[in-house]
Amino acid sequence: MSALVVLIGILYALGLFFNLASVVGILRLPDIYCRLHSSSKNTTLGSSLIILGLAMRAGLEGTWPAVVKILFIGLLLLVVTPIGSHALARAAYWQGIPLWEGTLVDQYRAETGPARD
Amino acid sequence: MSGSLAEPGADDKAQARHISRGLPPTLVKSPLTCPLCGAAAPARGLRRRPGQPGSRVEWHIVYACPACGLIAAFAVERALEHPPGSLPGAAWTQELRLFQWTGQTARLPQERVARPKHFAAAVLISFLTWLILTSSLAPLDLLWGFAVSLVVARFSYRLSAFGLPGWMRDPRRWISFGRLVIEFNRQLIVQNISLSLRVLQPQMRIRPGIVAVPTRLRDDVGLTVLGGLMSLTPDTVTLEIDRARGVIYVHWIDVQTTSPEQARRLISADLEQQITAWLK
Amino acid sequence: MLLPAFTLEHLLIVLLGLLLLIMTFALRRGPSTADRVLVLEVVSTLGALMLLVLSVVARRAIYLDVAVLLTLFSFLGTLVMARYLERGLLQ
Repeated sequence: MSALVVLIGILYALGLFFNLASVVGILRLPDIYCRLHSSSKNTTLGSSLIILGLAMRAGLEGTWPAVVKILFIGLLLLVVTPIGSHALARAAYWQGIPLWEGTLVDQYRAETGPARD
Repeated sequence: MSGSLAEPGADDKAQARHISRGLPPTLVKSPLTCPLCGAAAPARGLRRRPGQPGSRVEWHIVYACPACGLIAAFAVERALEHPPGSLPGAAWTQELRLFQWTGQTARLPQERVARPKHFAAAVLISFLTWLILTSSLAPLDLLWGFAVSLVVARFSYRLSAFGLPGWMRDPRRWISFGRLVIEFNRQLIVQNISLSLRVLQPQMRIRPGIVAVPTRLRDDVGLTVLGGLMSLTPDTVTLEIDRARGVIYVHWIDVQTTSPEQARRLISADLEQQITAWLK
Repeated sequence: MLLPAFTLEHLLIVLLGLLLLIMTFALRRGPSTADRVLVLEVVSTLGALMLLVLSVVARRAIYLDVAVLLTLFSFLGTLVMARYLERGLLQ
């Protein structure tokens, strides 16, 4: 019981750490494409860990329907986040938001020519 | 369907026949690809746009998807200039409208027709979702859930009118699917730690760039899964997937190489191997 | 243990709320609309997480439904905004 509580605490702490990293990344990284890395990946793992901890906590409480639903939300987040970030990346690129000046290569522009429209 | 719409008159039918004779056969015979479900949607007929006498464009050529029932109509004059087959899918989903039949130029093909088993599968999926969302096993709730699932499935079962994916029938593929999940989780954790450290350092060491990653996958499922997973795994976010050439363009936060083959080895080779083992 | 039940969860809510507060500043700053959409996505994820924690703490299953809806609608909103941006209808 007690060991499980410690494990849950560790999961919360790790989840918070990754969420904090994503917030810091969004504030610090230079352009939207880099920020997408932070927002899609760190948030996903951070929330997954917190959700895992919460599911275990709800299991300790004995409310199994809540466990199922919490895990369902976790799965939903896992599927939804990469799709959203991909859509945003594409939209930003075709809208013409410039890459950061420190960007090394852009093989997409090189191979597909200048922006369509 | 045609409660408020006027019945087509005899003049309309004659005119529709006249116009359809004047259309090039390529326009009438070649089906479009349905943007929703990918089935071949043949031209089903011509219609006159009701209630707009002043407009120049009156006749529309109507395409209907046999699998999901999506309907699109294109003005005939514009369709002659730009054949609808050459438009992107998004352009023709905008043309969704109610329409009235005035003439028939093609028959429904028999493939990909929704069957009772698809209906049963849709009911099952809706009911499971109901169970998760209500999380109640009271008899009355179950009864309501079943009723609602029936109604939902009645309207949506055509969307799921496809067979079980091939890999689900083979237990060994389930194992390779499990391996893919494990590999994905490993990469997700490694990636997150590296990205967090990168971001939290006082001096960020980032060398971003957009790189083309060639893959050997060509099928839609494989490319979609790989593209989605690559957004979450190594230092990359998927920017665009070129379906025809099997190239995925990624934004790489720490560019280590610009040669496509090496990029493939560094970024996608592991996942791609697992996906190939899973799908093939 | 001497601590009251759900101490960790209460702490978690406060810290997540702090992150959310920081993100609202990023929402004001973000130079382009796409940046704001991105921040909004993170904000809604954090909000959904807070709701989940809250539902466990308060033992209210109804908050879970709110979290599901929040997740789904933020996803739909992101897709719609991305669509608009791509077509050049928003600047």
